[in-house]
Amino acid sequence: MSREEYMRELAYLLQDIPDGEREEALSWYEDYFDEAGEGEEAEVIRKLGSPAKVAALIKDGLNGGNDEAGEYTETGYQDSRFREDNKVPEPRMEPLNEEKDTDYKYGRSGRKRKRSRGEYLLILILCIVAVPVILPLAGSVFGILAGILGVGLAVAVAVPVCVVVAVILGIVLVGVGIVEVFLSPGFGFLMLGGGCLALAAGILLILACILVFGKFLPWAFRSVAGFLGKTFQRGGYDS
Amino acid sequence: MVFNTGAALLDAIVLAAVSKEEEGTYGYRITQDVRAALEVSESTLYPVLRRLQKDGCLEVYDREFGGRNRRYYRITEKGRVQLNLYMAEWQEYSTKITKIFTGGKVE
Repeated sequence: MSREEYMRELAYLLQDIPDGEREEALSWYEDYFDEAGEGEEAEVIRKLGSPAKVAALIKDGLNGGNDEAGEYTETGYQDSRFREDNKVPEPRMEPLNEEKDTDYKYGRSGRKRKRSRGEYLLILILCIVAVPVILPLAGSVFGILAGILGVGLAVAVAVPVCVVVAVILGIVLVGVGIVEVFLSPGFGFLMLGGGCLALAAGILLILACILVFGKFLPWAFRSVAGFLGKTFQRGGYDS
Repeated sequence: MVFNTGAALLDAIVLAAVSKEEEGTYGYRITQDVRAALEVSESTLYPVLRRLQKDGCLEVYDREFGGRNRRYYRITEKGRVQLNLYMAEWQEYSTKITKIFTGGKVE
């Protein structure tokens, strides 16, 4: 790049600043080339850096400078916004002055958003990976529950039926036995005894039912509920 | 140098470089003088000079030199006050740091 090209590009990049400022800056850099001497053009261009960098610094200076934005380091003025490996503002963009701060913020929040998107993706992948584990687990838990429920239902139906049968049988046998005792004492007492046994069995079954339904089942349900709660909670953490 | 230079220190160094010349000095030379003390990019100096000029710390005038106009910078009274402030601050700052480096106690 020759001096003329360099200055032309700089003028182009500075077209959005006030005319007076542009002329001032351009004449300063023309002077600078003059002072350096004719043979030094390439060296001056190398030391100044790209026209885009020079223009960005001039515009930043016009904006009153931003002490926090950049620092003068050993390798020159360092400002992430003006780093040459970063995107340099396009020549026809809006004035840099107005956009500078918001651009910077957008950049930061954009990076943040990207990271959380990555997290969502990770969670999704974890869910997909966990499906082969969670599905059979949930299935077996559901199966065990259904089994327990079935057995419980069967018992709940069978036991009262037995109780009713035993009690009715007992009452009938005792009633018939009392009558039979006077007709044929041996047979009568046998029936009385059988009736008493059936009544006792019915009463014992009722007591057993009270024990099972009143104490064991609530305990069982509590345990099952607790186990399920833990399982689902753990599943939730895993995913 | 491994230490970074903040805007205030660069202002101070530029003011000092300009104040060395009673008659004033010009952009290219200021750049070279500052770079003798501090490794800053050459494109850093124009915005600093322009700002100091706008703030009234530097004044400019043109003088013919070798058939063309050369723009000279000269420190103003305000610039001198500012420079003295910077130098006092620097004195305090560098003394404290030197003390801590050399094992002395900072008051």
